[in-house]
Amino acid sequence: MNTPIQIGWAEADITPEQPVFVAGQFPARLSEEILDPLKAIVLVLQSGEEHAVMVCCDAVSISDDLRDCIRKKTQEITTEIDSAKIVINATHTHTAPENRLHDPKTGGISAGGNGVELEAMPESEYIEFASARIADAIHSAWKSRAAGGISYGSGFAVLGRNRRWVDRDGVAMMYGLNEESAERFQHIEGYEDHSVNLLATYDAEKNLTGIIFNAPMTAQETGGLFAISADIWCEARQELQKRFGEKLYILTQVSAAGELTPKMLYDKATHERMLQLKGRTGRQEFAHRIANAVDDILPYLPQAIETNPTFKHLVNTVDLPVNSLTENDVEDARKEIVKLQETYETELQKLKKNPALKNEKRWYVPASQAFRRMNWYNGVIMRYEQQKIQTTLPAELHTIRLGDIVFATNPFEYYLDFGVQIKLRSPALQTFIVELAGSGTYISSRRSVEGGGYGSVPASNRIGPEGGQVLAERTVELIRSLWKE
Amino acid sequence: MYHAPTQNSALTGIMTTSNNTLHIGWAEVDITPEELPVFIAGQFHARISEAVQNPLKATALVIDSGNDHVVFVSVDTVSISEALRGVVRAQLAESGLDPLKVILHATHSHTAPLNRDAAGGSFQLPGETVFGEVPVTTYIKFAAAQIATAISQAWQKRAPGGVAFGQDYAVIGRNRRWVDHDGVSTMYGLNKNTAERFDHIEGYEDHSLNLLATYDADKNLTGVVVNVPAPSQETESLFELSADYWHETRQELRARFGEKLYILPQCSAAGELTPHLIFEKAPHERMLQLRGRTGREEIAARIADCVGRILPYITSTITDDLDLKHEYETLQLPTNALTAADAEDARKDRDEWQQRYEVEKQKLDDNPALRDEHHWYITLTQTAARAGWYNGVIERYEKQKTHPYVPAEVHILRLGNIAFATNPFEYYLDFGIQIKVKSPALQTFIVQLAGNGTYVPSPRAAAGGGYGAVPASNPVGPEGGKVLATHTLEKINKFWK
Repeated sequence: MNTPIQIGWAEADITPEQPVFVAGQFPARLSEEILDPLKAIVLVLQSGEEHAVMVCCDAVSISDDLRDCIRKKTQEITTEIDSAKIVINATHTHTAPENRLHDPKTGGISAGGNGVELEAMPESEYIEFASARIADAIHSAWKSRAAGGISYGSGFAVLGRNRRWVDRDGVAMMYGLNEESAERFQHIEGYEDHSVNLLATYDAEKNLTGIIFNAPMTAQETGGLFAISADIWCEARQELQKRFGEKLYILTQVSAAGELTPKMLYDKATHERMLQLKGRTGRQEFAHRIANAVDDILPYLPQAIETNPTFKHLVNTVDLPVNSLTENDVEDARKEIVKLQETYETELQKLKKNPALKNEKRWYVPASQAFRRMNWYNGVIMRYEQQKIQTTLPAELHTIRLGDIVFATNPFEYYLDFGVQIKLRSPALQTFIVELAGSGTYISSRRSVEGGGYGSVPASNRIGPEGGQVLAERTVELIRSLWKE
Repeated sequence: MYHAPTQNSALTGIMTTSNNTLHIGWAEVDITPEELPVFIAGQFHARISEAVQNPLKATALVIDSGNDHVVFVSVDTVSISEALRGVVRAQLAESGLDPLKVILHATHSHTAPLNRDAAGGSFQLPGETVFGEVPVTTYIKFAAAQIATAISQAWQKRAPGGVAFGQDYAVIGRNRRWVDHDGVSTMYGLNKNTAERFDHIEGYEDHSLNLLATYDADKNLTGVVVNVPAPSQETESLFELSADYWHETRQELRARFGEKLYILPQCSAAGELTPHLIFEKAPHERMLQLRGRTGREEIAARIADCVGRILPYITSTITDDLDLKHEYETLQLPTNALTAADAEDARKDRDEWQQRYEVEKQKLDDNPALRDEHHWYITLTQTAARAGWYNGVIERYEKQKTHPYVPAEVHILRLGNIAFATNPFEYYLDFGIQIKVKSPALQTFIVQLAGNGTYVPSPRAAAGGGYGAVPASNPVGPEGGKVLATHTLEKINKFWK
């Protein structure tokens, strides 16, 4: 016998109050303005002894540092919540503060480690700041939880586009399709998944209170800005709240979309023309598509509201085989490092010789780009050494059954082929895959690694296709275990 | 993809008068067979029509710039046989238009009458010619007369008008091919057991919808060309005549945009795409139930929604001041080079199916009462058609020694900043994307099945095999597909120079 579901929502503003390093690109970006607020949205589900706290943050990824700090601070506020059952995922906005602590020992991937001297809010401070607000929101959602209902449905929206293409020789590339390179174009490497999974929550009077919008789309339409922004989700939240209620809570989840972004590889001129004709920005267009998709589903869901669905939340840490690197990989990485080191030092020399250059806007970009790319390749060398003593990496997975649907999280930027594998082997009516419920980085598909290119090369992949397959198998096993009981 | 508009402003075009004033004419005719039953085309086994579920249509659009013209005719049928096209064109000799500038293209409805004559039929029935069906030639004659009438009407009715175009997205055509962990491709067939071997969906999907809208001199909307990479085969297995999802789509579009709206469907490159889902079928079925819609109604709603997202924004760009260039030719594409091993494999398969056919025939001969059972002829015709399908490989293997090319009629058009590029095949999407990626047109309307069809697979599909990408499916292989794409682009580029 299931127990009636209790539902609570809350929202926190996690916009930094000082300039920060913006995370998501190789060059350092110091935030120059706040375009729109960053949010963390919290949904609490509780039934009997079981509960889940789902948090979505406007961030590029969720570092272990941020996750652990949120859990710790929540624990300090209330012991009623099992902190392990707090699952935090990112929208993948590329215009939010870095939340990874800079640690050269781990390969120096934080935007805070950029090889130039810049004044910015330290990452540790932002983590403290955001965690405190998110923990308060979690507590608020927990306290406000009340009897309600859920309903779910699916639809389609063309959002995330495949950014990788393969040339006649089988070489894959991310973006870079232009008049010249197009002559070599053979095909788009993989698939696109335009499914939208929607969970709607209702209060006891069947009033809509919030939605989970799950689609394989990362929020990086304006990912190159030197500004703070929730990207597409700023406009999408506005549009959804305009259509479905100002108080609507909107929790975003990115389904497996390792190689998908909102950017188009082709038909770009057509797209731009339509934007002009519609008088919309790209982000507004996506907001409309998202809201249209929700509008195609929501009106049909009240008839299917469930108040006591089956509810079970598994938290597991699985060990995934590391991407097995070779000496050749290391050699290649070393060569790149030598080149980048030279570029970096040249840039530093330029700045030293002519300090006035530092008065120019974004003077730090070339040097920091070389430095961070160098660190990126350095990670290959460090991992090569590390794999001699550690052949697996842990990954935290949450598997949550709610009625006939399931949520299955992973911390990665998980290539779509694996996502489709999970969806079609899952016994759930709808499988909400949630990537970037953790620190990210790409797990590329087998066919993708064959083609190479950014996202599918040793420097991109701490976990390779082998580990990706293990992750898919474990995820399917965990989901199936929830249907056996 | 690359070039901004070179002729008129893509955004600010307004109704103007010029030497290039377009004349536009539309007509629609009913091509539902009057004499029934007929053979329904589209599956290996024969289907004798048992009912008319909804009417079959042919819709003609004439665009005449004064300097050049085109006639697009969309036909609710699985493909356009040379027999059908030939009879239509023959009837237009005195019409004043160039019959060779008439492009007949199919919606790919799998629930329309066979229009290939017996020699080119999709199944052969040795010794079994009597099913009580109306001869295919009767239907060809009827449909051709109707289509020719529509073309003549559209031509005669052509009047000054304008056009506008735009693009949006509708998720309709889905990739039906998947690859297992060993690299073997399969069409459909994903179930609980096979899913354990699933590695990935083989190729891509294209959900763009290219729209061309036409207007009269007062800027009233008169018709739409709806170009989607989605063949009309949502209910492809019926023993009834139907336009498939285009029936509901026409109804929905007219309900929203005017009862007199003309609608001309075009199928963009979609060799491996259909409206069928190979995963997430259960949630789809559930949503249909919740919405109280059939699958066809759902597609109709998606297309109408998409058209509704474009139309309001393109009226500001209506123009009659566009140049039209239209060239056609018959390409000689290299045949799918078959090996002795292909022929030998086909021989084995043919003999096996022939044997099954003989067994089935014997069963029927031994017990004639079986012929009274519903659909008694399915196994018989399926085995015969399969044997014929494999026999085609053997025949092509011999033929390629003296005829290494397959003719293919193609049409390339430029209308202002958009291009149309037709081909007679079920052209795999990778080629379609190649054309779209490299085309200088602002929008490239690829029109497949402007002819008698059959699959031209991509290299990766041919590598994986499976129905649609095996020798028996492919008179033209990836090499020919590439030649077609290259030639199409050369022609389009020529129009932009």
